[in-house]
Amino acid sequence: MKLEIKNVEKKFNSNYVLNNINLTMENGKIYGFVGRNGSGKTVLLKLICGFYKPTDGEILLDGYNYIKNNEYPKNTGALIENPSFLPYLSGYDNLKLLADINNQIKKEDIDNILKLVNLYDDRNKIVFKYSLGMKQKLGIAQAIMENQDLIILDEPFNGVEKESASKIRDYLKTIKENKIIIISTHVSEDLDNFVDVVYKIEDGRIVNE
Amino acid sequence: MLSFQEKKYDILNLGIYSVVYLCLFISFLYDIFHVIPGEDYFLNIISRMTDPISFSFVFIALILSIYFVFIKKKSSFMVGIRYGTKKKYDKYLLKEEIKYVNILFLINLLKYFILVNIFGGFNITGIYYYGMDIKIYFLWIIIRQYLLFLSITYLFTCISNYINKYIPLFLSLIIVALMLFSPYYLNDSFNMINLTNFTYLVKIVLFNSFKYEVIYNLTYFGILFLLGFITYNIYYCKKDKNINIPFLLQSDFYTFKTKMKKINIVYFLVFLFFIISFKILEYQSGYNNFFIVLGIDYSNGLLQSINYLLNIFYFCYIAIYLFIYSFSDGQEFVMLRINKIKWLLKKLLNIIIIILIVRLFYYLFTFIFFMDISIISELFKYIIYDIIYMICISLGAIIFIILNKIFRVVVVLLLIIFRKYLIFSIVKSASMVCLFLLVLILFIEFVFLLIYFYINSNNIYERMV
Repeated sequence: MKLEIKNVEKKFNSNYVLNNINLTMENGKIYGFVGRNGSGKTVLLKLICGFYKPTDGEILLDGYNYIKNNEYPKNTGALIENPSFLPYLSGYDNLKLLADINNQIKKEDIDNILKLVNLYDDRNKIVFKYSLGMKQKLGIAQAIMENQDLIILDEPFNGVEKESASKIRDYLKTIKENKIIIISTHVSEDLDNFVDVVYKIEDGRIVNE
Repeated sequence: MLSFQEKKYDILNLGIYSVVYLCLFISFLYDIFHVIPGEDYFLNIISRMTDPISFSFVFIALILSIYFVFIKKKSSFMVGIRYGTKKKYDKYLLKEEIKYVNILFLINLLKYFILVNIFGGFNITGIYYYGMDIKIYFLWIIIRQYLLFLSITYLFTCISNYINKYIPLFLSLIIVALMLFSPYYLNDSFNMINLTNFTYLVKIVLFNSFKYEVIYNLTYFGILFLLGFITYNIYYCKKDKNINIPFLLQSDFYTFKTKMKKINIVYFLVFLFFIISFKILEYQSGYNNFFIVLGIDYSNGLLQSINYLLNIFYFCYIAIYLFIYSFSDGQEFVMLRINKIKWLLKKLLNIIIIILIVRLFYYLFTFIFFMDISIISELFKYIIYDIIYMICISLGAIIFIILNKIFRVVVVLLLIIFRKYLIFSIVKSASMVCLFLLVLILFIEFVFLLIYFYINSNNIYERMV
């Protein structure tokens, strides 16, 4: 699997949010994007997800321009900004309903992923009673539970306690083999000893690798 | 626990219940001036029991006593916690309320006997109702009033559980107002069941036969019990049933219920205003009012036209809000799991389902309000036209929102040119040709939406966010 971002630019009205982005991401690696708030990280991730169309340039997945063909990247799991779960259902039920859309995984898989993010004991608690960190963990769980090929996590460790964050990092390292994992954060320490490649974004430009 | 039990019958003490006794006393004072001396003993009691103005005060006393019990017991959570589940505690509360209501009912009944004994005199003249002795009819009136007390208690408890505790109190005051003013705006069509005509339950109205009166009253109480039962069960419906309903549909219902709460309440209140004002203004119930209230017959005046436009605005708002909200509510993880076109189809289907349910609710509400069985066949005829029309308009609104500026101008121009074909009275235009055209427009809108969304989905997403 190969994700290529070629000369991508994105502007909203007359403001350029992303400028001349050129990246190539390959299987088996975890990529990190670091930058302060408003630097363009989330927009870049939304572009990769196919929610936005680049003003210029192209994004190719295995050579296929899915955005041009109005498609989303296949087999992708994403956590972008605040996930919107059904607050009156339990964490488990939310994941079950999402899993039912594609019917790819079993009950045990959901339990396992809940154990991984340290939510198994709270699986029957309604999401309304979840703390911010617990919701974030549930968001991560839904992004990785179906063994997706492309995993995009935007500020995944916001509000997540160290122990769980460390466990999730370890898990992502173990599953990265046939995947591209992209993580963005404004805290560079979140990526220490974890990602393979770090890109720093400033004012919509990649400033170093 | 013992001290709690000891206070079980504190309705006999004064304190907050003094307001309840004050209401009964006002009712007593009012009755003093309306008791007819020398009139038949039972007729005098019946006429006092069935006087709408006197009964309004009794009704307020009833509501307040239920309310006080409810608030007092509800606040004693140390008792509630011993019942294990909220449902069991609710049943206990209901039993407690019924005990109080029984006492209130007996005090009120005693009041009538004292009143008539002192001011009316014991004079039995042998009057007949429906060919039977007045004593039997008197017994029926007592049973009827007791049933009314019970059904109101049940309904109040069920609704209080579901919504803010002050709302049942507010609704009760509306009922009292309707009861007080109903003799002035309601006609005496005895062959219809009319939910707003409370006077049927409290004043003497002779129906075609005693059997018909009993059936009518029991139907009425049945509706009150049913409303309570449904409300109660919706509140306690098992959450695990939701696991079978797709995420996207649940999410849209949740958005409709919570994020659109204010506009829904405002629309409901405006609808109530229209339904009551049309009833008062038209001074009759039936065919015309029914369709004007629902906003499908606009051509009769300014108020009707406003109601017509209000309905269109409301349903367009539902459609647009549900459509836009899915983009801004962080539901990207749902979109990534399905194909864009599938997502759009599911979204549109959800919007149609919600519009359908809301519209049917208002049809049912209006039908219960007017309860005119003679228009059922007409109703079924127009309901199809109306719902397809509303869906067409709502999809049109979504199309307008997703179009870019230039296309929007074109659409506005087209709407101005074809306005006389778009805004019409369904009641007057209901024909097979009209139905065919509506279905055709719906089909075109669907196809247009699918194609336009397929081509421009990224741009649409950006614009919506």
